[in-house]
Amino acid sequence: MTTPSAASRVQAIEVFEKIRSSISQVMRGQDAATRQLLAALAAGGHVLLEDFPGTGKTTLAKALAKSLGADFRRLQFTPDLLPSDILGVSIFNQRDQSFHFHEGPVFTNILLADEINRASPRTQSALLEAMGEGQVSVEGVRRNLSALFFIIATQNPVEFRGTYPLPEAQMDRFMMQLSLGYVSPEEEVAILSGQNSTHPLDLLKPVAGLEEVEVLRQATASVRISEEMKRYIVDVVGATRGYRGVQMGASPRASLALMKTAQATAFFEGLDFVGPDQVRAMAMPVLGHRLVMDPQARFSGETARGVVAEILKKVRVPV
Amino acid sequence: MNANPPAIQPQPFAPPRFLTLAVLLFWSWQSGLWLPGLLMGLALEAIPFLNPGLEFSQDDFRRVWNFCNLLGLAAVLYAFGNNDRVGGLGGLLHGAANNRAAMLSGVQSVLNFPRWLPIMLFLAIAAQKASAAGLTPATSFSPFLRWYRQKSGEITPEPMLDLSYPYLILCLFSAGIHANSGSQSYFMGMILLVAWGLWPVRSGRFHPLVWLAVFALAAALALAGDVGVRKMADFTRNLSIQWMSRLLRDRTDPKQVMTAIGEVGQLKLSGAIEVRLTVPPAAAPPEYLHLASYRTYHRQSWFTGTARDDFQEIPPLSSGASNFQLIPGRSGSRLVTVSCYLAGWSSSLGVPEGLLPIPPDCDRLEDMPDTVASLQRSGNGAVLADGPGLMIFKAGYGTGQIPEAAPDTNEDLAVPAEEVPALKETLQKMSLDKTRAATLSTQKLESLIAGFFDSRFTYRTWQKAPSPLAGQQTPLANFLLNTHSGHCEYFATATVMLLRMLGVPARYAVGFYVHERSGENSYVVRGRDAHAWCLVWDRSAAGWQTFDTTPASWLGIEGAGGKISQAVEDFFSWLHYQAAKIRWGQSTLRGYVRWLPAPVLLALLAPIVFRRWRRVRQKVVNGPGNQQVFRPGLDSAFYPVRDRLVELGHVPREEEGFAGWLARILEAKHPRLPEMQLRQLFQLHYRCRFHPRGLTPDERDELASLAAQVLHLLNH
Repeated sequence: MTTPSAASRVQAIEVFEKIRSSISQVMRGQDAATRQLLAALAAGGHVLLEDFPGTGKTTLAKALAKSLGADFRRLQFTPDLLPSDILGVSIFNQRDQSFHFHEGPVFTNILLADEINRASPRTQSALLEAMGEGQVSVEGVRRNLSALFFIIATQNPVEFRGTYPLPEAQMDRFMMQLSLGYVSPEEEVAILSGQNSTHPLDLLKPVAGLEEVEVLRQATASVRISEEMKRYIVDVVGATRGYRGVQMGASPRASLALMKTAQATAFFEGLDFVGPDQVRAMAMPVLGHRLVMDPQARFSGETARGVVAEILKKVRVPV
Repeated sequence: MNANPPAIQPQPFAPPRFLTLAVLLFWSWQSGLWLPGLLMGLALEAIPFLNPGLEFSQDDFRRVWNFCNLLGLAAVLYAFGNNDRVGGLGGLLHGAANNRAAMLSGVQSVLNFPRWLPIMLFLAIAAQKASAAGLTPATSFSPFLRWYRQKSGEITPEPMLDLSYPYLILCLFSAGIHANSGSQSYFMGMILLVAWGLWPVRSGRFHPLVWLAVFALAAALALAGDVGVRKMADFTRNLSIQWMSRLLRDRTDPKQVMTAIGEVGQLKLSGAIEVRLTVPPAAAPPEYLHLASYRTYHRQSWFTGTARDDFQEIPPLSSGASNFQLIPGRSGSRLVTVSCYLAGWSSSLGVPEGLLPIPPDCDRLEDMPDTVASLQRSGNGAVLADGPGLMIFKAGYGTGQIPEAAPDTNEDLAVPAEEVPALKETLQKMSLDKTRAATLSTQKLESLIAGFFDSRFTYRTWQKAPSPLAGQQTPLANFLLNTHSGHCEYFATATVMLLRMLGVPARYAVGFYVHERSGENSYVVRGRDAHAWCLVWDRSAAGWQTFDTTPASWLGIEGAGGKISQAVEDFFSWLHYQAAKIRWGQSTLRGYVRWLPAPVLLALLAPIVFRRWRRVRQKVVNGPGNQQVFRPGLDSAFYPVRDRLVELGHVPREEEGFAGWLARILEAKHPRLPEMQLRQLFQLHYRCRFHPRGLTPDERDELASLAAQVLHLLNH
């Protein structure tokens, strides 16, 4: 592995800072969520935003897209949405007597899959290949997506009427699940006054291009991680398997995601190595959505996030 | 600046640049392995330049070390196979001539093993140099240490070793095992390289000239010591050859035998098994096993006399055959299988040599090992063999004819003048003289003499000092006239002398008496069964006959010994016998020796395979196991600060992590706590602990001094 020069590290840090400050102009009081979102971006994963309506999920996705100056599509998931509505479709052209492929919204850089749990499982699964391999196969032809392909999906945790919960395989393909939560009263007041005249989203200008995101990703991958920290990650992830109340634990893909996001977090903090703090910071968003709880445990009020918190306390932290 | 240095973990203590290359080149020069030396030296010098900083786990180091062990084992087996041609892997060679050549090939190849040591351990040192820590965990060498650390909970930091200098010392040692080049070049080269290695670590308190002078003095002393040891070794080697030849002359020298006649005190008799016999079912063994006969007696020693150089090669019956005829045209009806060791050494042929214990009337030798280099017999019945150290063959006998040269009128009738008076006196007691003896048959004469010894003499292995009244009496005269007791050598010598006084030719024969059964058809002969008797010339039959006058009680006396200790000794003797069979290619086991490495290799591989299998199983069944991980930085100077902070009430919480704890401490606004220094300390420790490459020495010093400052502030 080649270590990037100090100059490119500095450049990558600047990229991160520019994107972060750009988003924070719109998303007030959501610095932690912004960092986690950017960690997923730098680690090359996808994000599932789960929160109540009106907390700014869509705004966050749009702010990121606008700050990057990347191609951005938004797709509203509904029960009657079909896979071809996502991937694209071949249409017969009368004039030259041949089929022409019309690319679907998935051929973009940043895709906002709004209310993803409203679509049927068939349609949800159309995203599996795109998320996992960065390619889609339509009508037997494989088509590559662009190098930067980042899905931000949102779902509403309270409303279950007319929804299809995401299958486990799909959940596992999201690198992390974030929730924004309600901001403090002061921040909320600031939001009100900020949007008095114009929406700050309209004022956003692109601060970084696709190449700069690539620099960020390379710098993240070069953050070093010791055997001991890898072991700690594996211990934490491994502890979820067979844990009391957990029907299905986290996969090795989860270990990989935890390592990559911890690397990104360490990089954002100016470190060139991963420590336990970075791993712990990322354990909740990376692992929380992957655990399948026992129905009985679920009824007795145990949650996957609670289990992750318990495990973080139980697995011995390297000091 | 370094107030409280962390002393647990050594820093890599690298040899000066290019010293490793120089030492390896020196080794390759001395051992003649040019290419490996050059390649290994270049590789080891190149690694620090490339600075790969690989993160090896403990397991990786362990695997490398196991591989080095396997390599060493293979080398040992190879060296063994090369050297021990006759009994070992060399069984592939066929034919006596080939085998003999192989046996003569010397001990050169056994020296190869230490010469190859630098190659075998190359991977271990290369792995250390390529690793991030630059050190090797001590536990990778010892399963016991691993077990102990696992048991004790692995709280203390992993002990680390630096192999750089030990490897160089090993290379120098290995270069010293040189076969061809002179010792001066080795010594001078070694001095230079040692000086190079020690120069960077010399004390700064003294002038370099002082250092040089001291080093030169040490080198001179070492040279003197080297020369001295060499001289001493030469001297003791000469000395020990003299000792050996004196001790071995007993019963193995066909030219003379020193008796214990006249020695005062207890005769020491060994219970070691010397010969094993196997006879056909229901057959009796030969009574005597004959080694050699002697003619002239002088000062308690028997000599071969003029027959000393009449050894003649016995040709095999047909070319390449393993049967030999001792008496042409005769073949006795009885057959015995004899296993005996050849205890001597033939310096001209470079193989073991010794006299064969065979029945006195043995007429032929069958099924001799095909590695026998030479088989000679002398006029006085001795058969001298050169060949493998263990001989197993069949001896045919039973004709009653002893294959010795006819009596020599001078030597076989000679009596030393100093013994004559006592012999005359004894003959008077027996009322025998030359004229009367001439009228008696040999049988009658034998019975008279035997009856005389039986009735008046006793067997005793213990001799008291001769009484002062005995005056200038010879030991033999003392035996005949005063003590009337002695061991077989007294009886046999006296009988020979008496017979000669009576004008009957007689010889002194040496060998073993066979009486101890060890199995249904097998017998053993021990050192204490060694015996001496007479050969009498029977005029009427015109042949030699054995004649034993030692009282029959001698067997009971000599057999008296500890039964249990004898059994234990016999067991080891049996083991030695089996080993000798394999060693000298006299066993069917020889074919299996080639497979000997297989179980050893399996035994060495099994733990590795098993460990791997167990690891896989653990992951599947139990999730993550509690396998040890290489944990660097556990010697950080931060830990005393942490302990002090905990004492002050800042106990870290399980869930908050490092940054959270620091934030909480800073929130508490400890009055004397410098925020900047504390932050910096935390950062450095975090880096020391979790960065794969750890800290640079400068950063380590900074960490130590920061910790000391903060600790000072916290304490006061």
